[in-house]
Amino acid sequence: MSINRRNFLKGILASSAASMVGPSLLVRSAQAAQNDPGIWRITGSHWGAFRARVYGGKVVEVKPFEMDSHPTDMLNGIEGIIYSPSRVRYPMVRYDWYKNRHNSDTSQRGDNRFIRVTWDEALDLFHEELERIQTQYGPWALHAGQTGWRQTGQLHSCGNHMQRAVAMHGNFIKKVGDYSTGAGQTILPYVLGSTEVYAQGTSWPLILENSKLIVLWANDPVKNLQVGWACETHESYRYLDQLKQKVADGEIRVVSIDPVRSKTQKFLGCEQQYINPQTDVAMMLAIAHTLYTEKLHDQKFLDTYCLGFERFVPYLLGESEDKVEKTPEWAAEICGVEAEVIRELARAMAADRTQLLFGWCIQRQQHGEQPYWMGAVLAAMLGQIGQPGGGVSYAHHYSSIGVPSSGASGPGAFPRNPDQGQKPIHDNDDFNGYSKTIPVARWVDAILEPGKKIDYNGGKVTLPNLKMMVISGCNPWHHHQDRNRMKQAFRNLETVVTIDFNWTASCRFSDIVLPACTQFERNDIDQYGSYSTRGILAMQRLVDPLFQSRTDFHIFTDLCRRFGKHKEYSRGKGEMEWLRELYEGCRDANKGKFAMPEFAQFWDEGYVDFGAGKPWTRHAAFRDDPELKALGTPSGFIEIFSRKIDRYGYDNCKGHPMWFEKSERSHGGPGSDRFPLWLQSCHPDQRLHSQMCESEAYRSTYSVRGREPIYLSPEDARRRGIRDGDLVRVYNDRGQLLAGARVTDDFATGVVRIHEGAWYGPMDESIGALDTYGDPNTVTQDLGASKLSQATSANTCLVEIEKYVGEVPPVTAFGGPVEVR
Amino acid sequence: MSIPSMWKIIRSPSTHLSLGVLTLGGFMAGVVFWGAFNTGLEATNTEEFCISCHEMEANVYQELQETVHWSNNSGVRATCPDCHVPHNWTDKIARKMQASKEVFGKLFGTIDTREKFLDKRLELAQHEWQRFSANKSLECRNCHDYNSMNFDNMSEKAQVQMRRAAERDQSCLDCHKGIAHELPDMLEGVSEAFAQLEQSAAVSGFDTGKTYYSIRQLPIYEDPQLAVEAGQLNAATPVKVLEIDGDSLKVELSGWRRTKGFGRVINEDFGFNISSGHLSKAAAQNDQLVSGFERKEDDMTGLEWERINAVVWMRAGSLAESTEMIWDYAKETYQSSCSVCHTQPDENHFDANTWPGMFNGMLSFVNLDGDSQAVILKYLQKHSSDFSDDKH
Amino acid sequence: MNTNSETKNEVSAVQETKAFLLISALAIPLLTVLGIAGYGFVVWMMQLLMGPPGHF
Repeated sequence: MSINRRNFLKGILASSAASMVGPSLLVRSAQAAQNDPGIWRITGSHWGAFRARVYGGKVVEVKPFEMDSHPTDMLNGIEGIIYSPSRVRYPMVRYDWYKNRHNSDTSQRGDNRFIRVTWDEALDLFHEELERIQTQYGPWALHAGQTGWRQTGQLHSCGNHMQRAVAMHGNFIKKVGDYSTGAGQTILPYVLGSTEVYAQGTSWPLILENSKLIVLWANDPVKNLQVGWACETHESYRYLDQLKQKVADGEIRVVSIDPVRSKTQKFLGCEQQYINPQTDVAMMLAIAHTLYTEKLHDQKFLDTYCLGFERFVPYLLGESEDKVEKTPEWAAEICGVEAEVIRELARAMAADRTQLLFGWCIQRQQHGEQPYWMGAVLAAMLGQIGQPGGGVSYAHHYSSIGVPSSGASGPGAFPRNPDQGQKPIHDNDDFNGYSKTIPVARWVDAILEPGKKIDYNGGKVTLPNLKMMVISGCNPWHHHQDRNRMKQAFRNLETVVTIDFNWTASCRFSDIVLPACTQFERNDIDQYGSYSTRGILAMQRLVDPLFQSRTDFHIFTDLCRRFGKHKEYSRGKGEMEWLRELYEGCRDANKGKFAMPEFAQFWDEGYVDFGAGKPWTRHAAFRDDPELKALGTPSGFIEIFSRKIDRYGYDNCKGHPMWFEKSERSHGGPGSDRFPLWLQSCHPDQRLHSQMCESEAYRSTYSVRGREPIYLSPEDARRRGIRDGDLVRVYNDRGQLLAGARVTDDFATGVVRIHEGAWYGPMDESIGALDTYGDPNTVTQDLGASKLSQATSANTCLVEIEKYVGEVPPVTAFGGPVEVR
Repeated sequence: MSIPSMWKIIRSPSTHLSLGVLTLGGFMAGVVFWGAFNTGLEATNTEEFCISCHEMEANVYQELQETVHWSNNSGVRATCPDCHVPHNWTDKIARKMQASKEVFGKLFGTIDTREKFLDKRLELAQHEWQRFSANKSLECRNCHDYNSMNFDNMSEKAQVQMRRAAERDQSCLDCHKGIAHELPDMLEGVSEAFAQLEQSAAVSGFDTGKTYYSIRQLPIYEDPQLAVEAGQLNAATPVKVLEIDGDSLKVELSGWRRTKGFGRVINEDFGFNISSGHLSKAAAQNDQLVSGFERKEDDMTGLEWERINAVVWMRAGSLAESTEMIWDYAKETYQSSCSVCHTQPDENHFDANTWPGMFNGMLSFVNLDGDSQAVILKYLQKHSSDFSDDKH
Repeated sequence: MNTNSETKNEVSAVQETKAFLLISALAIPLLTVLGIAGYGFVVWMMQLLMGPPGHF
């Protein structure tokens, strides 16, 4: 087979040949019912791929893509995103900033008073501020590195656009890690030689076939698999259906270890094992103790594949560190689980093929590395890592991991980095002694304590003196903790620019807000199936950009125009040319393996399917040949004891997994006397983080008294005179918020939940102001999980609740800014 | 008239024909001859003539029509003789004599079927590549000239490469092989991007005692006939050539290995998990192939390491003189593949032994073939904080 | 006295013209072509020994 060769100057030919414009790519509608007027288009989103009917220039109907066997209820919220009253309509500038620029009264940030400006003015201001920051300060003062879930679509991936454009102007502070798996992705390379959390896992068919016991440890896949990184088709659910049947037939035992009766537990009809919040490591240590003392552990596996078990055993037996033996009795006190139950579980795990599946919430707490590390140690002791249906996974609840990968290549994206050879206008690479990259969750620390040196992952980070932030594709006023601390920090920033399509709290606290359009207002391309890479999807534009919103591509081309780099930024190509190129690149990568039609045909048909992949077992290659397929740990083996971490000398993350008491913990732990309730702020059931909260009609299907629901136990409600549907005030020393009570016995006493992503709507800009909608991060603490990961500790949070009496303030989280004329 | 009498006439001075007639006549005859000669010669230098042979018309001529030398936005076309017939007169004549081989081929049908053509494609291509290499792509320069190039009109990527090429007055074909016809399938299983790297970086001649770098993962053998497998060389691994035997090279691979297990994995240096390659079980345990030296305990893991030298055989190809072009490719691929969702970490953000863990965890997100993966990981490790003074 | 106008040492105009044409139109062109061909052949052989032309 000969290679049809293009040299790497193919850009010349491609750009001259690909000058096709819109009209020639008119979509022939996939004819649905002839009765419904309008045309059908196909597109996708994090909630799923779908078809939409557009009539009169508006989206009037959304129905799931036919390849999606288990569409999520959240598709009903799509229209509400496009037509939300919170749409950013025009470029807006904070009123006081418009008058006084970087000398504005920053204590007014959050008062939500903005003045409308033209696009030219807004972009000029943006450019001038970038200029000022680079010349007056330096690259260390600009933070444009924050990232988030953005919208789907590889071409218009907004963070790529923003960072490419800003990078062509000057250098800036970047981040490492993320809020999803900050602790997990930092510890697991030391233990299992890979970040693990974003890697494909053992295929569901193999788990269903081989596992006899599945432990869902703080894991709610039925809730979390509704959304995905790419355009979801929810293939995992057919396996969850099968699992449900197997549980009913008694073929597989599933235990959900969780303080809450989760959506998954109820769906599968499986066992729930209650555990006191934040005490999981203690229980795991006790299980390990049982395995070891009852000689149920796989010594041969430990000898062949692991390093350091012999240095961990003394800790287990109470001979080192705290000198406390980690017996089930010891754990029972802490965990609220009977000792005999712990023993029984340990024996059950060792008796047959056991699959451990961890969720991510458990590592979003103080010492978040420990539960993951200990989970790996348990799996190692069971000796089933690398066997189908055995071992440990940290990601089966995410983006269709566990559905076999087709093996196809997905499309590339609009480049995030400037092209090779491009030098920024301000080529200054001197960060003045500050670190160029900071742990993602420590940016507020940087603003409040510039110059502070912190420990991070074996090194030291000097937090930079931030003066300006550019925010795109993420919502820091949702994902970060401790709102009042953030309010304090934001008073130190001179300029904040946010690009978004809906007026989030991040927009509210910014100085310049630029209206981007939603993904449904532009053409794009993405894959569907997420980790299964099941196919490629044409994301056809549904409607034109609303109001004065623009694609990020357009916005940043115009920004670059101001310093003469718009041609280099866009490579002189328009939207359809880029799409064509990304598609052709994908087609090339799949040549010989998966046939893909010409671009025009693909765009017209709407998708290309690659078929199902083959089942695969995680870590099997390592188990088969630990020498040649060594893990990426320093030794190549599973490191139960890590000399490297040991040498860092950290007090809150040592050479092996340990139980550490938390700074605040319910059920008899520190702080529980003043604030007895543990607030869990896990991923929402009916949003993607904070996306879709602004979808009014859809939000009303779950909001209580117009506020975010707080779930609590009947006992806790009774003690406080709270009834289901009441308005309650949730508070601690850090802040206060209003929420709507949902009383349910899914929740144990002392355990309450508010889903994260609830939009922050403070009554006013003052520090300590009551949040009117119910954002849990009003009360969470801004603390690094440990010196190793410096990750978020959102779930180490205690609160008290009281029935709210008094004048009920309106919800201020939605509806956009107050426009000043 | 008989020949002897003819000869006598020719030898003697002219009796009847005047000097003027003779000179003018001879001159005109010369002109006519030269015209006819060149017309005839040039007739064999036309596209029409070339494709009159079916072998050419059905194969390479079709391929040409898919390329930028056939149709482009300036309407300038190159035909067969522009590139394949040397313009220099002496070389042109020599080539015409050489064409007797082609006549021979036509008569005896050496490439008269598609299959025969494909089989010979590599050999034929290599003839041309050698010719272009020797005269620095002189035929290309009949139209293209570095001094006339407007680099600013090129894409960023092209500018970097082209400016560099212009500085060195590099032969066009070094990089632009396959510009007019399809490439021979000599790099089966290697991705296109990697194939480009290989073409640009691979040397064709070797010197003993010199060190070269593998461009991609390459098989190694126990014997000069390359029959008994001994393992695999990782990408960008330095090897020293000890002996050259036709198409095979005897090379020395130096490194360190852990003593736990079979000792198959060879790492670049003590305590560094930077893979130089691996040996088969048999080769790893063979004293004739692997010599062991001092042993040390690695403090970071408590495991023992041994310094070794392995002497193996490999095919004389896919080796570069330096890592420069390999790292260029790796850097560029890393920056574009690994910045789709987030800004890619700086190379020196992690140390060499941390990179494998980070890299492994991200592979689900990228479409990289095995060779590219190997080369990028090694690039990251070799530019990690262990090897960089850059403050981070 | 000879009846033949041509003696052994005498050449006619016709003969000379014929000879002239033979040389100029036939022999020399042919020899030239052969010479050039031979030159080309020699250069080709040298190229086989010394490699393709690269003296630019």
